[in-house]
Amino acid sequence: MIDPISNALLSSAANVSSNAAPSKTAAPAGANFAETLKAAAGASVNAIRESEATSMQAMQGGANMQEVVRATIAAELAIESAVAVRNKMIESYQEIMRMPI
Amino acid sequence: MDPISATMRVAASGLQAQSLRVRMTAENIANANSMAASPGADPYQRKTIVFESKFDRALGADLVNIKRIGTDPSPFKQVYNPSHPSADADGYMKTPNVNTLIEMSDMREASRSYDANLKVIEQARSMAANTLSLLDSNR
Repeated sequence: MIDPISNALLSSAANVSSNAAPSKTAAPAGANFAETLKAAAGASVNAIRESEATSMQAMQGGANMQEVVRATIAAELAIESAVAVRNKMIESYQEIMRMPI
Repeated sequence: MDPISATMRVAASGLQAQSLRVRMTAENIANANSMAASPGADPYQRKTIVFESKFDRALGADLVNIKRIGTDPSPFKQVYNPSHPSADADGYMKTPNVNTLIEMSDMREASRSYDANLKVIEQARSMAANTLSLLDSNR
């Protein structure tokens, strides 16, 4: 049985229409710890690449300022989500390692 | 695509559209005194910009698109200035159909619209940051 607090968390998570945690969508069901981390890292790589390409274009006069800023914000967001997920993962890993055997 | 990223993309297309609109008013204001070089020729004709919404399939949202950059067909003003090279036999020359007052209010509107789109990006960004902060360990 789900306790009321978990239930509230679940329903509020359903309301937040955002895939802020890339690992949730990127990682296949039943993936192991390393796979999940890998997926979280990989999700942000494309955004960073796009941001870099746009910045390069802008320096050559090809892209406009708005596009550069948008791509940079998108990359920043991707990195932040990846780092947040990674931190959480490592935290739980350490939590497990600290358990007395 | 994640709605928050999509929001930013949509707002960025709005930014681009409004910046182009400011460029159009800049061209109109700058050329408000650009007369024709010879009699009978037309002076600078006011430019107009037309926006349309365009559905982006990959994004699943409507972006702003520049439909076309046209010219204002309203008639040129006739001004008596016989010394000007573009003056006709009666001494009248055609002046551009640019009204600086209209251009200024158009520019102000574009600027406000640009600011509004910037606010949308700001808001989307802070929503994303707040959501991510749920994962912070020291909270």
